[in-house]
Amino acid sequence: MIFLQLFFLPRVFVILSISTWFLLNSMDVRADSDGFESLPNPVEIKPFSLKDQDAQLFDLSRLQDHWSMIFIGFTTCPDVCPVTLSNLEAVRAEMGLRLSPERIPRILFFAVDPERDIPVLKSYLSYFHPEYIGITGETDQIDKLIDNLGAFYRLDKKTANDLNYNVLHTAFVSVVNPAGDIVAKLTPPFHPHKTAEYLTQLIRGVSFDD
Amino acid sequence: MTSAWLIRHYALMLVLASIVCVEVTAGSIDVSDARMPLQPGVASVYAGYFTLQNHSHQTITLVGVSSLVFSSIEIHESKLTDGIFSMRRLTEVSIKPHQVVEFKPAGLHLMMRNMASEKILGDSFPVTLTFSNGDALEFHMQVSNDPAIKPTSHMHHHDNRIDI
Repeated sequence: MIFLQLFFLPRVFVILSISTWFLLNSMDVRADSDGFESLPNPVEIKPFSLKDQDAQLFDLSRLQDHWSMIFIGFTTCPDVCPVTLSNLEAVRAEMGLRLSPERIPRILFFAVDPERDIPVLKSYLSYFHPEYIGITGETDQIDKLIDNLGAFYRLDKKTANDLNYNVLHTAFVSVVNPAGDIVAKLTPPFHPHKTAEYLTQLIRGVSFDD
Repeated sequence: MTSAWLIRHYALMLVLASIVCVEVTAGSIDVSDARMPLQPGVASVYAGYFTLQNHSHQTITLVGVSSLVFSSIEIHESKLTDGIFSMRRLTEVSIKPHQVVEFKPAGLHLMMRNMASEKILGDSFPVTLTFSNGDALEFHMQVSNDPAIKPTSHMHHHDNRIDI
């Protein structure tokens, strides 16, 4: 009996540990991160030329003097985009308890599917929140900012006439400071409370001459 | 009634119940939390979410979804792989015995196109699921305002927002 225990128990333990390790690795993509990452060196955004949802020029100057959260998406995205916008809005609501309104980051919805996005961007965004800013434009200008953000997107057209194509896009949200530099990245699940705590500290920790 | 009588009949009932459960019917699957977040008026695509629970001892396979309100409903899955959100269409979803499968934001969801008319949407609308054995299950999907919030119960969390 003792022999059996000595022989089997350690093996059972090893098997359990190995299966637990596999389970932990497979079940949770967030296990190794808190959902935000401060960049050791701010990344300067280079000049770009896009339009907002009112067809007004949106370039570098419009990133100045505000904190911004840039989320990459497209308007024919019924699943991931609305829930992300909703979670980011919850982050802003939590920050409202700790910071004055002008220091709370704005939400910039960077629409990367201009053909389908431009005609509807204004009414799409006003449905979610009147203060959201939508930016889109010519493909070369979109690609410029995408590269600068270290991001990626692809219009996944199955055929040339495919109208119901999906758009693959980077999930992270770029946090841009009032000098126009990328200083942090937020990654899913965008937990409202933790993300608000993190951003509040980030914003309080940096002082700008007003 | 003696307790022996109860025990004997309880055992009999268990046997009967297990015989009934071998048959896969729509009655052995439950739908809960069915909801469709409202989208901007300009939206051409809507997402639908619900939770399926298989109470039977057999795998049940969902093969189709239909509704009078949308002429096209597909089963899709959003995935986050190496920091990229992508989406693929699934032709079926298998629900193992006693398994709960959640259709939720940034995961499995219905992709609903070509809405017939907003007028017939109302507070909820009927949706029919069909399974590989030919069974069908009709339920009502609630129209909700916030994609991240479930319309019903399950308030055991400190809040009921969905992490994606």
